[in-house]
Amino acid sequence: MLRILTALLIFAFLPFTPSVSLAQDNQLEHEELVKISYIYNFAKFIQWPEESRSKLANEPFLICSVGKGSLFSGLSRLSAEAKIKNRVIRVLSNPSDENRKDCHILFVDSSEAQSLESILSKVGKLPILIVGDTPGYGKSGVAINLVNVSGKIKFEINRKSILRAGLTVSSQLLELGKIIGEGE
Amino acid sequence: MNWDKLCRQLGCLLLGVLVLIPSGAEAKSGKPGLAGYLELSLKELGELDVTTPSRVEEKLVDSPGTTVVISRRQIEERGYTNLLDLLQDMPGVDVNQKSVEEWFNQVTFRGNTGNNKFIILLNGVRISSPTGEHIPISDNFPLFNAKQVEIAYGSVSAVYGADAFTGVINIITQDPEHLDEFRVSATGGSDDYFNNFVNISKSLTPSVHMAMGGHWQSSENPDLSEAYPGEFQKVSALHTDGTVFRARDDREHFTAATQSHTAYLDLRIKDKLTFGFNRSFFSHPTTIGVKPEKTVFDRDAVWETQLENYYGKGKFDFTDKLSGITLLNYSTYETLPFTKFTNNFAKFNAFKYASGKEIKLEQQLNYQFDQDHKISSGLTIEHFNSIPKTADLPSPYNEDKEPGEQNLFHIGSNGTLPIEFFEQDYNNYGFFSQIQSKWNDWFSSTLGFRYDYDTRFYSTVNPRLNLTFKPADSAILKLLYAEAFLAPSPNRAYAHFGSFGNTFDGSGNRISSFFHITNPDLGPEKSRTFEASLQYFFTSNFSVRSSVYVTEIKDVITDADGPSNDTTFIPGGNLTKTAIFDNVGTANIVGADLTLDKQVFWDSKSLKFWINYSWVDGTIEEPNGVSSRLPLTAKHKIKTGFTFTYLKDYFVTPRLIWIDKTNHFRFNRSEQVSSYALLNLHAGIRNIFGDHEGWQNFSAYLTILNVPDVNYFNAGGGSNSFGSSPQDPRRFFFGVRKDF
Repeated sequence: MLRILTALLIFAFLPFTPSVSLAQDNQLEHEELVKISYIYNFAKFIQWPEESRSKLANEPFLICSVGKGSLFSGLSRLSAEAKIKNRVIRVLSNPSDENRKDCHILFVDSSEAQSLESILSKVGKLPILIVGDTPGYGKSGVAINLVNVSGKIKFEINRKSILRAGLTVSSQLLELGKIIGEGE
Repeated sequence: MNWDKLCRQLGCLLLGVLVLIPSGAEAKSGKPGLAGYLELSLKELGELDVTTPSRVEEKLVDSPGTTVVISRRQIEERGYTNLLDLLQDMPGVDVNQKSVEEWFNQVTFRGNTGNNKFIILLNGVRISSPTGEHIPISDNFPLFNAKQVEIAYGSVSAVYGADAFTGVINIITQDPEHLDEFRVSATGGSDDYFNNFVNISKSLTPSVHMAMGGHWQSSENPDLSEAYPGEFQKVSALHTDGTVFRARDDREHFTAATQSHTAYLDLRIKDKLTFGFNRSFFSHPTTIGVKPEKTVFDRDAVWETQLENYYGKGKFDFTDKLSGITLLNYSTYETLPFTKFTNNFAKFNAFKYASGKEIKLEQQLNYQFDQDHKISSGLTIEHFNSIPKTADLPSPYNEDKEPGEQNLFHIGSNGTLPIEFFEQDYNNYGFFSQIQSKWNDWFSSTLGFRYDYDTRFYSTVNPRLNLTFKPADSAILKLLYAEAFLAPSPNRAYAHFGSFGNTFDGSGNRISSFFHITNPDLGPEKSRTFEASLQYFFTSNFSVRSSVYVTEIKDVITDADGPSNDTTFIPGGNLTKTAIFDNVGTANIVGADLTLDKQVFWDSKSLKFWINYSWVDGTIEEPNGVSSRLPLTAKHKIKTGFTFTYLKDYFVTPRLIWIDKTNHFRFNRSEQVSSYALLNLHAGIRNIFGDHEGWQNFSAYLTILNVPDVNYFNAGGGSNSFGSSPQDPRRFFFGVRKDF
C-alpha cells in the first residue's frame, strides 16, 4: 500500500518539477479575468470584413496587446482555453507596426496613454477592434473601453471608431455598453 | 475504536498537509479559473463585483464545510455521462457497482453507506425519491444538461431537513437566459450500448427563457458469464430447500440489460418565476450480482424506477433588504408494477410495487442587515403518501385499483393468505433559520438550525455552526459542527418479503422458513459531525484542499433478528424465522480527504491535473457488544487523472482510481473484497470539421472503460449475491455531438 501511495504521489508531483519546462503559471487576478472574458465576448458581437471569405478556420485569430500591463499573460492563457469564431487564438505582445496590421483585436493598456494618438493614427482605419481599460480612452478614439464603475467593470463603446475601422457591431453589444462619442 | 491511534493518524495527516505549504509561497487568492469566467455572458460580467470576491467565489469558499464543484467543461473533458461516473472520481466516495438487486449500485460518502442518505437536487429542487427510498444512481441522473454539479459533503439537515445525511448534490442546468443552444448527441458502444440526447436552451422573448431536453439510453451490458467463468459456472438453479428449479443443462443465457430515459423543462419568466418538470426512468436487472444457482437470468427480471416532479418557484423582492422565495413542488417515486424477481426467495417469479408522493410548500425569507450580515428563515409543509415496497406479488400490482382491492395472496400459500399493503399518509412541518455573518476580512460564520416535526415519529432539531478563517488571501480554514437525521423511509419500516411452503404447524398455520417483516416503530438515524478543512492556494492554478472529520451516528438502521414462530404478522401463517429493519447500533467514523489540483498553460496547450487521497476508518457497535467494520467502505482510496488539451478543441483524459479492500455490505461479516485499480480513458475533438459549411460545431468522442481489461470486483449486496460482485470488462464507446 505504501509503495503504491508513494508511486502515485511521485506521479502527482511530476508536472510541478522544474525539469518540466512549462511556460508561465499565470496568477491572474479576478479583475484581469473579467477583462479578458470581456475581450473574448466582444469578439462574438463584432464582425470583421474578412469573415465574408470562406475557409478562415485554419487562420488564427490574432489578439495583440500593447503596453507594459499584465493582461498579456492572461490573454496568452485565453489561447489555450478558448477559440474565437472557431479559430485558434494567437496572442502577440507589442507587435511591430507591420505585424500590428494583422491583429483582429488590439488591446492598449494605460502605459501607452502618451502614444495612443500615434497608435490610432496608424491603425484606426484598419479592421482592428481597439480595446482599452483606461479612463478617457473611449473619448480619445478607442473603440471599446473598459471602465470601473462602483467596483464593477462596464464598457464604453465609441461607435464612430468601430465604423471607421470597417467593423460591424451587433445591436446586442450596443445595448449593453455605454455609447460615447469622441471629444465628449 | 482506538481513538488514541486514530487521533495520531489524523495528526500525521494534518502535519502532512501543513508541510506541503511553503511559508514563503507566492500565493494569490483562489479564484475560479478562466474557463469559469468565459462561460459568463456580458451581462453577467457587468454584474460581477471586482472590489470584493465574486459571487462564484463566495459560493465555493464561504459555503460551510466541504463543497466540490465540477464544471460543464470538466464533465465533457472527463467523459462523465451520469452522476455515478462523476461520484466515482470524488474524494471520500465509495461506489460499488452491479452489486445489489434492488438499487443496482451503492454509494458511500465518507464511510456512511446508503443511496437514500444524500439528496439529489436539480436547480435546488429535490429530484431523488421524496419518501426516502434507496434508488439506483446511474443513467437516470444524466449530466448532458448540467452547467455544473455541486457536491456538499456532510450533514446538511440544518438547511434541507431529513435525508441530507451524508451530503447534498445539486445539478445546476444552463441558464436559458444566457445560453442559446440546440444540441443533439448520439453515442454507441460495445454490448449494444446507445445513448442519445437533445438539449434546447433559448430565450423566447426578452423576459421568457426556456430550457428543455431529454435522453434515452439502452445497453445489453457485458456478458459477465464469459468474463468470469469461475463465478458463472453452469449449475442448476435451486429452490431454497435445495430442490432443482431448472437443471444445469437447461440453463438460460446470461442477461443484464439496462435502459433509461429522462426529460426536463425549465421555464423562467422575468427572473421572478420558474416552472419546472423533471422525469427519469431506469430499468436494471434484479439478477445483478446474484449467484447463478440462486436465480434465473430472465430479460423480464428488472427493477423499474420512475421519478417525477413538477414545481413552481417565485422570487420576490419586498424591499431592498427583504426578499423571499416561494416553492411549490409535487414529486413522485414509483417502483413500476412489472418489477420482477426471478430468484429462489421469490420462487423464481414474483412482482414488486412501491410508490411515494409528496406535496411541498416552502416559504423562505431573506433579510440583508448590511453587506456582511444576513438571515434566512423558512417554513416547510410537506404531505406524503406512500405504498411501501410490497411483499412478493404473484402477479403485477394493478394501479387502477386501491391497495385493498388488489386481491393478491402470498406466494406459496395457494391463495389462502392475503397480502396486506401498508399505505401510509404522513406530514412533516419544518422551520429553519440561518445567520451568515462576515465579521471582518479574515473571519466569518454561519449559524443555523432546523426544527422538523414528522407525524410518524417525533420532532428533531438539527443545528449547524461553521466558522471560516482566512489567515491569508491564499488560505481558508473552516471548522464545522453539524447534526443531521435520516427519516426512516416507509420502505424500510414496512418492507416485508418471503414465501410459504406446503407444510403446516400443529394449529394448521402454513409454515414459512423465513420472512422479513415490518417494524412500524423504526426510528430515524441521528448523526453528529465535526469537520476541519483547510484549502490553500499556492497560485490561482495550484491548490490543495484537506479535510478531517469525526462522525457519530446513533440508531443505525440495519437488518436484525425478528421474532421466531410468529403467527400474528400474517394470520394463518407461521413464520419460523423472521428479520426486521431496526435501529441497532452506533457508528463511529473518522477520516480525512486530501486533494491537489494543478493547472498549467502554455502555447495553445493546457494540462489540468488532480489527485485525491481519502482515508476512512470506524466501527459499528451493537448493544450486544459486537463491533464491526463500516459496510461497503474501503479504508484507503486514491483517485487521479489529468486532462491534456491542445488547441482548445483536442483533449484526452486518463482517469485512474485505486480502491483498497472493501468491507462487505453486512457489517457483521468479516469478508473483504479485494483491492483494485481501474483505468478509464476519454478523448475528444470539438469542432472537428472547423467552419465547413453545414459541419460547424460538430464534435466526436471516444471513451474506453477498464482500459487494461482486468477482472475486478465490487462489494456485493444481498444474501443471494456474490460477496465480491464481478464488474465490467473493457468497454468502448464512440459519440458524436452537433450544436446548431
